Amino acid sequence: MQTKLEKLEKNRVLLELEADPKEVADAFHQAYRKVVQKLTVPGFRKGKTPRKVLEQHYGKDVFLQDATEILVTRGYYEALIEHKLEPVDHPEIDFSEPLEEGKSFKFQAKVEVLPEVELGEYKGIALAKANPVVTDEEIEAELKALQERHAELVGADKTVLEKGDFAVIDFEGYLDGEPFPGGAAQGYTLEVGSGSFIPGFEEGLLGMALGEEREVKATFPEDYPQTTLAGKEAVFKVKLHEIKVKEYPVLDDEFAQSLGNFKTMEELKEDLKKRRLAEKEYQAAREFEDQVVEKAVEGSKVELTDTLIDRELNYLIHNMEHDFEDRGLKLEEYLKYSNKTLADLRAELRPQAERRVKTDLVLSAIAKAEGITVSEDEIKERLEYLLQFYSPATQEKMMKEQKENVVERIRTSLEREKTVKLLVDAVQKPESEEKGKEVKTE
Amino acid sequence: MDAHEIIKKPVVTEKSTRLLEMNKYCFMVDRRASKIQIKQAIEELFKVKVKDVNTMRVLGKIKRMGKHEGRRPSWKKAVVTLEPGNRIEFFEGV
Repeated sequence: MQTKLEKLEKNRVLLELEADPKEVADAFHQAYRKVVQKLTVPGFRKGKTPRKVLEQHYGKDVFLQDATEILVTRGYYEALIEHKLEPVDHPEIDFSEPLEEGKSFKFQAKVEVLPEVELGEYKGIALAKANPVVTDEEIEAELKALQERHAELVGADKTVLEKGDFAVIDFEGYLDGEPFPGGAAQGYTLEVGSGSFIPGFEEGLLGMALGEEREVKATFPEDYPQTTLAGKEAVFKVKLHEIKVKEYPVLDDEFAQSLGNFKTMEELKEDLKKRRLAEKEYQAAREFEDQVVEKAVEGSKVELTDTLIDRELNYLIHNMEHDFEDRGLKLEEYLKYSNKTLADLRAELRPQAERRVKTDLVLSAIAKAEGITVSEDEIKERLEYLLQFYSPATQEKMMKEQKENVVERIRTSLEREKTVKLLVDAVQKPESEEKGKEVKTE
Repeated sequence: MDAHEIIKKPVVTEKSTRLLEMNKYCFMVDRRASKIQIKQAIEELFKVKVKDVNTMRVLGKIKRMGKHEGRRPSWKKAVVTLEPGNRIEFFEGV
């Protein structure tokens, strides 16, 4: 097979291929082997018919299509390997003269390949990493939240209800003198002033004494979900049973001890700080990685084509569809709700898709340039790690049906991780950052 | 009888294809034809020299359509051996 490569615009290449007569004959023979299994001729068992008999019975061209297919496929893939091409689409195959035995066969294939990446400076990107600090205020806020979470409602020795108190009440609502469904409850605990009831109700309770019964008028808002009630004025008969207040735990050593393995308040604070810092550092490291990658991508040049972007778009939309499904929604419903068409959505996602495609291409180009490889052992290790998150049944299914896929995905992601690590390690830290050196860059 | 009446058609089956290697050709022939007649007819039609002719009567298969029994026609098969160096082109194409 002779191959000639010619580059066309838009990442497309033209392959000119020529098979010599011997290859053509081979292809015909293969085609016969394939066809003979399918066709029958009276007097012969399936698969036993001689080639000549088949040709006479079904016409000269029985093998033509299969032979052409065999030749084209073989030639095309050989050419891909020979020229190290990575197609992103199906090829367009063309031939001017039909295949004929005893002659050579010429054909051409046009296909879009992965674009070449012109890498920019990706090593030694100057970028400062944010040094996360945890301030005392943040710790205070965390403590406050803890306090809030551990607060208890206790009976207050008060006789008059004030804003911010918790009232335990019975109430029954009447609309034009008639009770309405959902308008009554007993022993209900309500935070006065929280605004969880309709306007006017909580205000009407202020100043109530213990054991007092009172009638409160309140109007349902116009946009109340229950349309039969919206905008109507209702009368509630309310009885106040108890007044409670929220009691916050005192922030002392005892409180710290109740939370677990802490002896003193100081220890608790220390721990909070440590955890907060770790969290922030992790976040900062991620952000830093993203920034580094972004810089590396920015500095590189890639000619993107619609084929690639469309594929990524399809992928993104497919993912979205799944997300919606998890939430019990259909993509069409979402589109209708947000008044968009699929085309709008695609246009909206396009920049994102472009960025993703470019990032992928640049990172894999860097991986290639740096000779980053992933060993079988590494893949195995990761595979085992990932598998433990699935049930045995799912595991088995995955290993059986999609092993290739899974391994390929793991390979890609490991390669990416390594590449990103290389990029991050190669970052030039500005002088002022020297002090922060001991902070580990993940 | 005319040569064309004697030799009806070639028999093309796996078995007959195998016989070609031994320079033997199979034909469906008229049931009444004798080996001598067959030899003469083949020599006349294909312009070859015949060494030997073996014949056999092939009984038609019994076939039934429901309760009606029938029989496919019986016929005569001739295996013609040619003298070395002779070939019948007609079969070559087959």
